[in-house]
Amino acid sequence: MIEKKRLNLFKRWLFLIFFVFLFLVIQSTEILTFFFNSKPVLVFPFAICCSLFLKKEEAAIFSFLCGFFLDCYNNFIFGFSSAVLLIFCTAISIIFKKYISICFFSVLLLNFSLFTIYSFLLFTFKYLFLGIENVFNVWLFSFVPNIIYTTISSLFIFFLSKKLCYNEKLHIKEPKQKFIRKKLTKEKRMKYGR
Amino acid sequence: MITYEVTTNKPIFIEKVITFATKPCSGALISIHKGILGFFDEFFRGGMFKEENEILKREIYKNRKQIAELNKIKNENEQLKQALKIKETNKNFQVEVAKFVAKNPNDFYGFTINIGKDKGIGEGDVVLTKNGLVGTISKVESDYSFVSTLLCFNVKIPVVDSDKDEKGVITGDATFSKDGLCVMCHLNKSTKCEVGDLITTYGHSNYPEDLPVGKIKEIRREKNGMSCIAIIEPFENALCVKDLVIIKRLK
Repeated sequence: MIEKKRLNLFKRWLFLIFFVFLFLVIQSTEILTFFFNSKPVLVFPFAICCSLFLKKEEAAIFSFLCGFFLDCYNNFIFGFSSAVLLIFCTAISIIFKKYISICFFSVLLLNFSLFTIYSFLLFTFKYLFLGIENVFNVWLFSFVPNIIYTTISSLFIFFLSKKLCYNEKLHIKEPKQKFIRKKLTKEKRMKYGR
Repeated sequence: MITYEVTTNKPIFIEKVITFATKPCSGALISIHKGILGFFDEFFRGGMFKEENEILKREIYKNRKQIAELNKIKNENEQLKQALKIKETNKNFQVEVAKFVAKNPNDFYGFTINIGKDKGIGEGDVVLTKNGLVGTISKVESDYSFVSTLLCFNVKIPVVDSDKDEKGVITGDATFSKDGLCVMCHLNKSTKCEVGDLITTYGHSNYPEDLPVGKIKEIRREKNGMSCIAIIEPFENALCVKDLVIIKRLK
């Protein structure tokens, strides 16, 4: 029983690392370049979506690893993405799961907001601090299409991460409450004219 | 009749008539014969055709593979010729050949190449293709390097208008980089540069000279009114490159 659990855990981590590697390769090539010459960042939403289903320790380790993959081929401080993803994913695994239900719309909104914050931090440290003229053109024509494209791609990544990480025992669905129509008493019927 | 034919080597009249009459008939017979044979070929010689087909298919595959290999060698040859040409004009510099490896989606104006300190690449080395200048090396690791293209804001390369001999500095600009254009600044207020002029590298200390960069697309006056800028359309699309040449500075 324990051995089976360990084997399943090992398999799941193997698949997670494999998909992170695959997404890194896909996002680094010219395959998905379409509008405004932008490409989606696939590793970031994958880390976010997986942390929704992982325990907080697992989410922290996984996000830290994903950050290293994300910093590859990025001519910037190595470790920046790791730090940002670590904070985001740990917060998600602790807070988000308790208070917000995991559904299609909430995941989309979560990915959009977190990636916008990450992009803005990157824009600030990489371009804004250089003091370049008309620097907001970079935000408008490079970062914004990137954010939109990444948010759209996060929908597909959510389903994949759910398939990989969703554990029925950890995520018990609340039963749907049936709507019970209360019977009106005679007095109330008189009052409301029914 | 025989002696006449042998001596004069010309056909006699009867022969002409007979051949004239039989030619269309023999033609018709031959086509009928071919038709019948062709109909029964499938049944009697089908196996032979199948074997011949397999042999021909294998030959076609072999030829296609050879064509692909020859194309690869041809491209490599052109790249090395380009490198040799550059080396001949810039004898103080060494040349290295590289390939595009990856481009991070968060890095809009740069990419990674497959060589680094192992091949003696250093920061500031110039990167170009057969069409023109692409950028400079901004960061070097053990076996890969980052290239900042001409669209990048921290790249500053001294250039000259080869037609009018006016010097300036080429760099990226936030307004024009999205369209794949860069800017040549520090031009005089009364510049003689015109649209369509060829821009090449100036050849100042660390940079080789006469490398093609681009052509002038537009000339504008700067906001301060004291100088002009020229909007340059590079010859090479810096973000869609494969085979590159790196010019190493001698240390």
